[in-house]
Amino acid sequence: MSDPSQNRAGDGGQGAGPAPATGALRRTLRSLTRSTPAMVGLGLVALHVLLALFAPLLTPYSPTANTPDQALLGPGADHWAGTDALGRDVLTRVLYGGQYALVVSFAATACAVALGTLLGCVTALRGGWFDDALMRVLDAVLAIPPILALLVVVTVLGAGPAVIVLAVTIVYAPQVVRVVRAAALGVAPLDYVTAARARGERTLPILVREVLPNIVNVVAVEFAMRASWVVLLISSLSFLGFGANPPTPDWGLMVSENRTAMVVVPWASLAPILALATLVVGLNLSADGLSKAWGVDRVKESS
Amino acid sequence: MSTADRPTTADRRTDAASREPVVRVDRLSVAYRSGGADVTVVREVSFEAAAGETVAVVGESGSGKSTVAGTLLGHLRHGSRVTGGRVEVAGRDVLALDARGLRNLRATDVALVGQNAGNALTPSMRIGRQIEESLLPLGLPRGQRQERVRSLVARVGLPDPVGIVRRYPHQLSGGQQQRVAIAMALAAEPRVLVLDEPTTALDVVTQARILDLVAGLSDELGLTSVLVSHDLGVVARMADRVVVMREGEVVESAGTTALFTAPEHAYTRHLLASVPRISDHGLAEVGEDGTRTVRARRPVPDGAPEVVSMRDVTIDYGSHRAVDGVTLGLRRGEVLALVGESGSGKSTLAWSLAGLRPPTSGTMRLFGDTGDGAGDDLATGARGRPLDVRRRIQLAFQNADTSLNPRRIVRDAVRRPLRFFGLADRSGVDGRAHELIRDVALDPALSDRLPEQLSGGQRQRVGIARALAGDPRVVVADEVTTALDVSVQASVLALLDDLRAQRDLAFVFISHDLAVVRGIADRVAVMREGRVVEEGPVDAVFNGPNHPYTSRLMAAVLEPEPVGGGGTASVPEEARPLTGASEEVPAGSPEGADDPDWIDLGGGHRIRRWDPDAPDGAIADAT
Amino acid sequence: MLFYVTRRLLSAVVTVLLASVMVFAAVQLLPGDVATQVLGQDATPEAVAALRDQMDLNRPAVLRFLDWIAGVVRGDFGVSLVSGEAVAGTLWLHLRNTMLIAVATVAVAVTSSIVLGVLAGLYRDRWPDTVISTLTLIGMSVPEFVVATLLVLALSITVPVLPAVVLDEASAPVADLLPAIVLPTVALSVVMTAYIVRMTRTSVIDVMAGEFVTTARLKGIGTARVVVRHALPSALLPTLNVIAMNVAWLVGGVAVVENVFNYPGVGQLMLEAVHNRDLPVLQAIAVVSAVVYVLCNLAADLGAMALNPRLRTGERSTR
Repeated sequence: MSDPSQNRAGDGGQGAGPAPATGALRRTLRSLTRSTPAMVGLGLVALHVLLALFAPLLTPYSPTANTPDQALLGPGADHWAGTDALGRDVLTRVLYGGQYALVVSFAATACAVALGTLLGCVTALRGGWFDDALMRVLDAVLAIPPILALLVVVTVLGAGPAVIVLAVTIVYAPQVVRVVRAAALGVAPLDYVTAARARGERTLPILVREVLPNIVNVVAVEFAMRASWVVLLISSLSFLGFGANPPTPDWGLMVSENRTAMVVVPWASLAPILALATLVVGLNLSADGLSKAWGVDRVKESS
Repeated sequence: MSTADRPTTADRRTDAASREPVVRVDRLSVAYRSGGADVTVVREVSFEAAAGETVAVVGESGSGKSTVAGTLLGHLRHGSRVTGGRVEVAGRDVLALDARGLRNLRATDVALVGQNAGNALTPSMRIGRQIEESLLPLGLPRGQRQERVRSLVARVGLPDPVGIVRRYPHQLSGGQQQRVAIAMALAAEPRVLVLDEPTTALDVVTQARILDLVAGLSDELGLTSVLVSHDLGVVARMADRVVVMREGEVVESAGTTALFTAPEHAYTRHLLASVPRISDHGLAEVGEDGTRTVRARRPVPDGAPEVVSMRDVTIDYGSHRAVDGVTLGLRRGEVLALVGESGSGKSTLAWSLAGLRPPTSGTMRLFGDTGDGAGDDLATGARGRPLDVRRRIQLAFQNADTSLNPRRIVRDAVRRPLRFFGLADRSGVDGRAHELIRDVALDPALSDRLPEQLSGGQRQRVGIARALAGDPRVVVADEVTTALDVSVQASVLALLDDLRAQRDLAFVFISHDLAVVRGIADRVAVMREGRVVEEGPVDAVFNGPNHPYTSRLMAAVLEPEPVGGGGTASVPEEARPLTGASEEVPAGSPEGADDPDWIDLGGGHRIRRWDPDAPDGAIADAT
Repeated sequence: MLFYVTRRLLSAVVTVLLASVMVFAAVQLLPGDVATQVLGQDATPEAVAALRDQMDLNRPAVLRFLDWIAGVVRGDFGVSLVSGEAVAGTLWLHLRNTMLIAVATVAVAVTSSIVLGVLAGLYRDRWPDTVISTLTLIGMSVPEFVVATLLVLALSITVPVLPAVVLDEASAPVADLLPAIVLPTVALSVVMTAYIVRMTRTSVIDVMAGEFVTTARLKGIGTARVVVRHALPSALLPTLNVIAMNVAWLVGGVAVVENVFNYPGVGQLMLEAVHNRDLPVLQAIAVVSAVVYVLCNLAADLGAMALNPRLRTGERSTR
């Protein structure tokens, strides 16, 4: 009630200095950059993207070629993180492994979030029997454990990046629908949506013009958070032997391959673990940072 | 402090002049941390309250009045801190107390009643337990505590004291919840009661009852009260002395009578002058120096054609009948006010008119200035109406925070309906939008801003501009000024009045504030439980005689005038007693007797007949 | 209230049915011939024909589904394509073993996460919160197989106190399995705790900032009482659903951990079934998981009713 930042004395059109409409965006950016965890998170993700992108330039070795005479070396000048049982440079495989993890996870997350957002918005605005039926079906999908659903899809369709993207979309879209639907239901009864309805606007324009811009923050946070889960799920799948096929460099697969030799060359397992953990920490911190950057505003509005 | 050495009620009721102040705030400053910088919310505020006295802290939003109230209990919002000064309550230096001392202070000496009891009561606890908790610090045995709870519940006027203590908060009405909050505050017999907007969330009638209760109890118990309010009517009714705050500073502090009759500071004068009075015969216009003139109401010409007619409109929500057989008409350039408490169906009716919910039965028609006179059907949803009919009825909303899309700049908000209704082409739309923004007395330079960069009043103007974009004949204004500060409210009301004159607009003006209605409306329809109980020209309705429900609404209005003992200053001037019985024919209405449902008082003033045996015309007491 | 519970039960049954239809459809109707899928491309036509016969593939899918679901209701999940034994017997054994881990994990994770979450929420932005939040962030960011692998490295190899892999059969007595559940339980608890702590923390912060908690504080009663009596019931409401989700996730999510420890539970059974394309087993696991999911949600709803009188007493509110 007495929040100074909300102190709006006076009325009327006086004192309208130039103030760009990008203020909200800029404020978001500012609160993001001021939050150390958010910057660390975004930095970690960016670092992973760069490393994966420039992997071929950063390492002289091939990620897949076997060199049996170099097998099971500890960390040294030539192989910073040592080599695995087949003599492949661990660091190289970790760097290339980022490519697989990032591309597949990003594609899968994007599909799940896009589909989930679309369905979530439509069902929130349509309501009625459509909403009831969809939520019931989604509840049934959620009732099947993600890893089982994933395994069933992979079993039926065979492994491969495209199948994994599809499978992850099926598994995670329902959860996105729930989150987005809840957010859209929060916006739907607000007066500016009512004004559009009173004008007699159709569902799609209302969705695009009035609802979506106001839940973009929810969707963005959902994306970052979901991405971290997807990275974990896909690496688990690889670890179990149903994701990336050997000799593809993949972090989950690497842990699984080098687990038995853990006592001899711990870095062959620890390096991919570290890579995986830092990427997921980065995604989680980004999600936190984003939600805080917007969440703070939300708290202010309600005070 | 134990209970034994506390002064008894009788001891506390000594003469005011000889008393030590129980509350003393001395040059208090509070700052709020925002974006790395300290912003001062309260600057060097000082005031005192003697034992048994009620001091009101009054101000508009952002004045820091609630922050001051919190410090009396040693409570600050997250992120705020005291940067200077002293707060003394019941002889203790509140700001110097440690956690234990604070707990003790709150348990025994000072209690708070907040604005919204619905949020202040713990939803998962029975209310008896919640009241009983306040008694825990007194160290009474269980049986005695429960005895006290029952007597407290009875004392604050809650029905069925035995049964109600077993209820949960959500099972009570708003007024009952506030009574529970008061019982909770009084349980430990505090010396100081802090009331932070205690009735703002309530209907007028409930508000009047709660204020009576508080006034009675604090008299009886000799409480020292600090009342925080934005409502000068409430302040006039309750306070002995008033502290006026603005932007964190005290601008004036005086006895209630002195302040209301001879305010010294220009801001106080301005504030007082901005409050609409139920006795005004038009809108008040306030000069920079706080002078007040009442703008004469522009009469609607006798020959003004009807633009909207509603016949026997009924609207159901499932099995609940929200609107029950309403027949009303609206003429060109006329302001028809719909008045009633929440749940009376006034908003439902208005929203139906705007096309958001088709009526269950009855007819609603819109008449054009040309055409065959049959008019266009409005008994459909917005999408069922032709575009040209749709744009003729537009909505303006109550809540400035949600009426505009926060992601779209002001110009977009106005441009969209222009484009949607095909009233401007791509090249002309910006020019039209700017004109509209200027029409609502906003600087066109604001058109590139987002809603959050505007003040509440500015946003409300944009909402009005958006409604005007369709070039409507009727604007449905749903509590458009309710959430605004009084000074802003006055300017928005003046704008609406100007627009109506310039554009020959008709308004359906929904409000629960009778003083506002008196200022702006030509005709008034009082609604209760989905029905119109009284309808007529504004002066006729305000002069009476009235339906008992209308009388009760009017009696509950609090005027910003300290009239001996209480500020309820709106007894109908020429009230004649009506019994409502069907054989009664009031003077001056020759043909009133043959209608079984209505008493016609002439001049379009009619009153629904009621059961004279039931109290207040069969109005169930919900509070 | 009885009406509400009945309605919830009905909708739970519908959810399980729908889930069964989807799993059945995914497994049996998707591309190609199931028999060929199961046996591989180079199976002899005779073998394929025999399997088609065994699986009744020549009958319409709808009839097969009805038969199957009728069996499921009677507790008959069909016959494993690999072992030729009844699926139900194997499944119950593995389910029992998984339940050992699951119950232990839930007990550990739920208690510790609520305690930690409430602590973090109450000490928001101070050191206990920082420590707890950092730990949960790490817990969330490391997959179960990593936690499990690191635990093996620490407690089975470096300091050999606990078995790294389980050598017991699925049918081993519970007492024999007990030492084996320690590491899987710890591994799963770490991950599960991380999620619940975060939710609890957020919701405690929300509720503690709420008006009714402020009111309770301003009544001058003790902090412990404010937290336990006023804040916790409301703060735990959203946490309930997260717990239910996590418990349901356990049934499938143990697959990875069981794999690391070679623990004979449902997860292991599931992986074997996928390897061998043993479709009846997969279907059975899916149905059982769906039932567990639905039961968990039901329990969460009942818990919510206990915490929120509004749900118990029906809507009689005036606003």
